[in-house]
Amino acid sequence: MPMMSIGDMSQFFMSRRQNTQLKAQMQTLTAELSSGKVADLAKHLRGDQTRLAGIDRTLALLDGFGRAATETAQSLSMMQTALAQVDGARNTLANRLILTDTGTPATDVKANAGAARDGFASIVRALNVKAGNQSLFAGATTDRASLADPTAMLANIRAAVAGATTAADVQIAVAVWFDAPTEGFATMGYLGDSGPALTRRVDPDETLRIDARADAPAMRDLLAAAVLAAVADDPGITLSESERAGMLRDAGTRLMTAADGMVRMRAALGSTEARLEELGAARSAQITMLQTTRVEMTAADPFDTATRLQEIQQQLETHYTLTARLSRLTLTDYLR
Amino acid sequence: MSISHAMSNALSGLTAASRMAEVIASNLANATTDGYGRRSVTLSAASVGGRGAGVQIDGITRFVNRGILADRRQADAGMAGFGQTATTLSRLERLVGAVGDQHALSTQIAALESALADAGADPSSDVRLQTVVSRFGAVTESLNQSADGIQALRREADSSIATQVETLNLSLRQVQQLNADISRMQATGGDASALLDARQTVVDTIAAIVPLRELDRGGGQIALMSSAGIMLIDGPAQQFGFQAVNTVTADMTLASGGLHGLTLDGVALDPGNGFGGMKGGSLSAAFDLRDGSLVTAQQGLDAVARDLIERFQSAADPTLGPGDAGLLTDAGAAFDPLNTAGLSARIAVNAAIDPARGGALFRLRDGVNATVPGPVGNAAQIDAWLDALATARPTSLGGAAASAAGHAGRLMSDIGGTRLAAEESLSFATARWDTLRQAELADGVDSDHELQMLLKVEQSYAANAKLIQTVESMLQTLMEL
Repeated sequence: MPMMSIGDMSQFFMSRRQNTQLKAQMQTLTAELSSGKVADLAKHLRGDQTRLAGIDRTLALLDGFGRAATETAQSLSMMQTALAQVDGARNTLANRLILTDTGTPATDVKANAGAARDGFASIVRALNVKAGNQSLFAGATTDRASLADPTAMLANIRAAVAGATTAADVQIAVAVWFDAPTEGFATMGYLGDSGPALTRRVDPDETLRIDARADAPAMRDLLAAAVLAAVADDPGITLSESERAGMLRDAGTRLMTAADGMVRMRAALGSTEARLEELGAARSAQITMLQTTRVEMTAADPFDTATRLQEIQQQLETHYTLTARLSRLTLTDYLR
Repeated sequence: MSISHAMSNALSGLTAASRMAEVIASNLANATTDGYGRRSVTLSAASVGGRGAGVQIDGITRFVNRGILADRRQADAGMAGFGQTATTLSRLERLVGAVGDQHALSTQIAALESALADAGADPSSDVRLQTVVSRFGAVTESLNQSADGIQALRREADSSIATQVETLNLSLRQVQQLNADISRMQATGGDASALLDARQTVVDTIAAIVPLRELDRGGGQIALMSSAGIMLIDGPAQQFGFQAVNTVTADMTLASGGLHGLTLDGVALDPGNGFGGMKGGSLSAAFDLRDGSLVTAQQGLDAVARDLIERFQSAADPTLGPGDAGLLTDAGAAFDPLNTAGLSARIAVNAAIDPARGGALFRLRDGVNATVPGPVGNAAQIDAWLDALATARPTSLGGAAASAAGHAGRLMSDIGGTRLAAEESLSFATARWDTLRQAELADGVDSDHELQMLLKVEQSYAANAKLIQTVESMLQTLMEL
């Protein structure tokens, strides 16, 4: 019987399938519109998500290094302040001592030596500065103070110079105390780590060296000069008043000369800070660029999505109207 | 006598009309029944001794378009197969995580690198070192969970094969039974339509498991043969065998003998892939998942785990001697290049750096085998760990060199790509199935058509009844003479 008839289920099947498809599309579009992200990333990127993974990793890394760089910059700035204090104390002391000469009265010699002790103490205090609980001039042993207590250090040096009879003897004794590799300053003065300089990774590809340390030669020269003035009135050494005044003057000259080393140290710190600053600018530029790229890769264009959503909505409404009409359009209804 | 002839003609008309009404009622009642073939009554003019003897019911015709049915069954197999593949692969993708997900491996590795960068800024901070240890833990945890999940999916595929084989055997026995019933019914001249419906439904069930061709063997019997040429039933039903396992681990494969393939009469169908000529449906899809895609995913995961472990071996850590376990271990022991199957399920953080397991945090700063803490501000070793993660090197599977996070990202991208490909295949298969299914349903019951027929039947019944009434009054007239 070649008579055409169309099964009831055929129409039902078609309308049900279209309904499901439209609703699924609508759900995807609604999710995309409200989250602002594409629902199926793999599909959106045509199966290749490696670039996106790379961007995510770089962003996470830059975030971590950003914090590291900020902390390093804070430490550097505190070190810069401490060095400024040290340099200030040095300058004050040097200007005072340089004025002494062989005719300076004994009381002034005593007063100047006292001032040198105060200056030495304040230099040591400045070098023992901490950022949080990290000691800044002790190298890798950030958990220890960089220098011993100034009074104890002076007592040690007094013992080392005791019995000296000429200014030259005192100078040699002090120089030996500061420069001996395994005793004197190395064990009783500087308490920090004397290994390789401290390094800080502040960028995936860049590690900064921080050389400024309390046992740096420039710092030792400065401390030695201050100590020379501080022990000038020491009763343990047998010197005439004019020789003591000469020692003070000599110490003043040395303190003046030590300015060079300090400038170099601060300049080195300053250039590290500048490098950090540059890296920071490069990092924020990179973060902005990567975030923009990431958004471009993952975002669902709201205008596009909303337009498609409206289209689907209209289609769904038409579909409902048709379904209702068609279901009424049957012979059964007219046979009553 | 002509009047009685007229009477019997009318009576046969009444009978035919009633039979047609019955068939229409059956059609309408089954308008939404799956597998129901629309029936109609076949009529012919009866004649006795050269004279018309009313209408004769030749039988009930069941309308089925065999061509469309065969095509639709092929589509069934494709859709069931790709459906199973796409569902499993999308579960795999959710398990391993997509790029950008919080629990995804590449995100975890990037978080670890970020924590290391943070710890490098203040290596003396126990809080930061502890964060690094937990990030290491999160990376290994993520690998362990993905690996366990993959093996669970493989086990599911294995038991799905067992269930399908059971259904297949049961259905084949049903077909055998129905073949016999239909033959008997047709031989006795009865209406076998209901049995044909039942057999069609059973064959549909088999068609989703393995694509098949239906061969007509005459006398109402059919034989079934898989598209790739294995006879499923021709007379007696074949008995397929499969042995499921209780747990699946990464080193268990079909090749290693840990997992089993299909057998027919105790003989393996194909020792290579396990299913041989039963390919194309959901059964071979389950085999492909168990021994193919999921194994590839596991190997990818193992390669990433191996790459991670190797990054932290001696070159990155001067305190390690040859044969010592590095920062990442194979379940606590040193990595063994001969035992890589399932490595991602066993990868663990060395207890030496974890205070919760008797280790000490300073070893992150000084090396895994360091005995005494070094200077607390020393960031050199932490920088070395960072370099170890960032160095571009190829994995054991070869391919382009990349960082640890890069390899993880590539693995996840691969898994996402495989899922996407399976979904695309599924959507083609579904579109094909939709079209064929709709064509099949168009041949089904049309209630408008049935009602039109019903009007016709009503008319014919009334006409035949009227004729009987007329004959009766004719006879009455004779009687009154």
